[in-house]
Amino acid sequence: MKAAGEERFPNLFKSGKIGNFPTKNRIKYGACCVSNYNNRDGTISERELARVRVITQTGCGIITNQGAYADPKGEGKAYYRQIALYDDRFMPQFEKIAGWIHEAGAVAIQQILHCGRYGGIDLGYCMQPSAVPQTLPHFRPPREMTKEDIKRTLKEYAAASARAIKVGFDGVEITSFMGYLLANFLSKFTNRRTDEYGGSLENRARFMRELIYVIKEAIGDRHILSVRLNGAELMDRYGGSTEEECLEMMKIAAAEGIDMISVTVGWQESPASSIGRDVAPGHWLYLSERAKREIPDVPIAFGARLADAEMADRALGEGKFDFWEVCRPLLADPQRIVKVRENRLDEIKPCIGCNYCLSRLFRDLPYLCTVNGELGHEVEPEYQITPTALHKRIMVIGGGPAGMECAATAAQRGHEVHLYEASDKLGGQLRVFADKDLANREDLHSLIAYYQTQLKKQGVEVHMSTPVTPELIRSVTPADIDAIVVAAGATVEKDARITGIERAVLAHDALDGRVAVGQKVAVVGGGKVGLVTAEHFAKEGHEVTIVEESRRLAEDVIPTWRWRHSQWVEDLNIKVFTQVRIKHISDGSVTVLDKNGDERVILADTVILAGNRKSRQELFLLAEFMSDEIHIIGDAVSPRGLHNAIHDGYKMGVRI
Amino acid sequence: MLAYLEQSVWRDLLEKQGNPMHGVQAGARVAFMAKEDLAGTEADMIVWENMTDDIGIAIGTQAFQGFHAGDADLMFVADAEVLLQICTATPVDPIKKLRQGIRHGTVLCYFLRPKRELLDMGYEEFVEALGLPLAGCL
Repeated sequence: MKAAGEERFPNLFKSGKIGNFPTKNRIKYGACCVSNYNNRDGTISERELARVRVITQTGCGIITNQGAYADPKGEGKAYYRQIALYDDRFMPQFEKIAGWIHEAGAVAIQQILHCGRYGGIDLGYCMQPSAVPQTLPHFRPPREMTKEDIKRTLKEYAAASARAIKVGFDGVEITSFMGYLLANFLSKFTNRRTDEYGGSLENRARFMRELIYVIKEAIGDRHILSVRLNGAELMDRYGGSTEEECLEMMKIAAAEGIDMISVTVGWQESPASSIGRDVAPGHWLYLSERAKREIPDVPIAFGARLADAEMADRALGEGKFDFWEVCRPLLADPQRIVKVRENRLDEIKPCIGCNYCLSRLFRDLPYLCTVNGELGHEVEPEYQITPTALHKRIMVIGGGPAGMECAATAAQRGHEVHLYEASDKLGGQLRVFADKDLANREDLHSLIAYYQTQLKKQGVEVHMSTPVTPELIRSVTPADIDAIVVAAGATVEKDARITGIERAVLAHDALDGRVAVGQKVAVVGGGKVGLVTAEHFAKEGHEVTIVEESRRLAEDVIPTWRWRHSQWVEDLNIKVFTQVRIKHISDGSVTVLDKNGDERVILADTVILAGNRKSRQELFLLAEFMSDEIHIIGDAVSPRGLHNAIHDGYKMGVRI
Repeated sequence: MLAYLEQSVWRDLLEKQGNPMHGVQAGARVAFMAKEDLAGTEADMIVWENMTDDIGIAIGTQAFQGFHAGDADLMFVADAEVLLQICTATPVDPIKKLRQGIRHGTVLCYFLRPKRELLDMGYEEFVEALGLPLAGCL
């Protein structure tokens, strides 16, 4: 009998074929760049193996294992803890992974990855077709590849591919996604060679054709060769290839007899967004649609900024691609496909497109996920949701992300959980930001909706509009409550040392419409809260000035979002004063002192306080002797980001 | 010669502006080059070299012989007209003009040294003023 989701999404769950291999459905696990969980010498860690076990249980019909570099020097290595396949000694661990993928009934593909322009992380240089300098300083200075280097690289690719097949993978994948070596040859931006590998489109494609040829020679016709190619580089301003040229490259690859094209978008250094929340879901579908139309005989995989099963199923049905490629959404919820199949869409933890995973990778750290506290800790029993040995009645104070995550997780383990929220809505600060987010706000709202569903399904008793006081705690404990978790968040405090501070309003009151806001607005605080506030009111037509004490804005914003805020501030003509301190607020203006002690008057009908966030810890201190156990999580510990709140909530939920 | 290569134009600019490379170590170099010259075989570029605090920035002209052939730390590439606008615009604020140019794609910024070296050389504030978060960059 068909599962409910198979009926609802017939295109996703119909069988397919890649090369000679049948697939149980039309869903491909994308290699998702790399996890950075492994060992510095390229061997695969226990942490990674535990993670791979989870990946194999995602229910995808094709699973691509993350990219392995193929050269012993590490010129192709872009991540400190990237896996390697340049020697036979690495093979046993890959054999294990291929076996697990097959056990799960999926087609197993190993990605071979030379990171080109972004490579050489352990070296002082990177290799490229031409020595085009970096536009981001994170990466190594380039060296131009000689023809000998090219030949050697081709051989290394072929040898690594052969090893992957030998250990049991059904095929290999090469990739130009994100601006790696293959992309560097294809793009006019990074390929300025004057020999047979540069210049014309055909010449720039030569490396790819040779690569395809040597790999096919190495793995034989029976096995799969998949190629990830950019539908758009988003490197136009640097003279990169056009979308038309990208399409031509796909046609050239197709003519070489490859088994699949995965259409991707963007380079790591692209000045425009490709997969963040500021790109509308489904925005890039036209690229796969065009590829499918122009190259009908080669299976097309696609998934950039396309996390929604309904949208994917429809696009598949309309012939816009052949396989839905999913990676980041499966970091957020590895059970996503299983839940889609069982038509439990409301239980899917959404990927909110925050790119926290990438922020971590580009700080040379293992990737983690904002909404999935277990990711990267699969090997640690302490991070697993296991039935509780001691049933407890738990009071969670605060219905923000930390409190909701903790409550739902603890309840899932078998505890009886009561969640208290002072306001009449769940979501805490997340809800306020979701309402005003300049990017796609549905992503954040979908996370709140997920928690609401979970609280209900896990049987959490939610007490709305119930501020928790010591009296309330006293009335239910210790007889009725075994543990208290304080997740009361943080608030913006008025600094009594500033004269006229009573005239200022708090950011949340202003954003929620609880106070009137004049035409000229001064926002005090240039962190996340201040930026969202300033951007919202500027968008609404107010004249906004940000006043920030520190040297720069967005200090508490993750790196992948800083530049977006900086662009929005500029686009919305928001004035910015940094390194200034408020001295006085009067009717119609605010007086600030700059770093030299000079006064400056900023006209403002309304002064909105969005800095100076303080944790709400009063209940934690007051309730110490009112309960057997008491804990504190999220912003109530220290005002931080969404990922900290959710991870705190998860960690408390799995251990309490 | 392209107008933006006139050293006097840049000197006037910096006299009015002060030292935008204040805080960057002496000897640090930033180059400006016309996009149209990149395709050619011979071209000159304007180079700012940060000197001691008393002297400020020394302006020079240098032949471009490839991105890594010189000793510039950063390089700005734009149409000659855009470069001229940056050094002649009023009110005088070349960093703001560069930042806007980078934001809108009319100025390309290349990093010729890795992040760690740039940080050691004191470039953090200069680069961040361009709207490119160096310490928090990707």
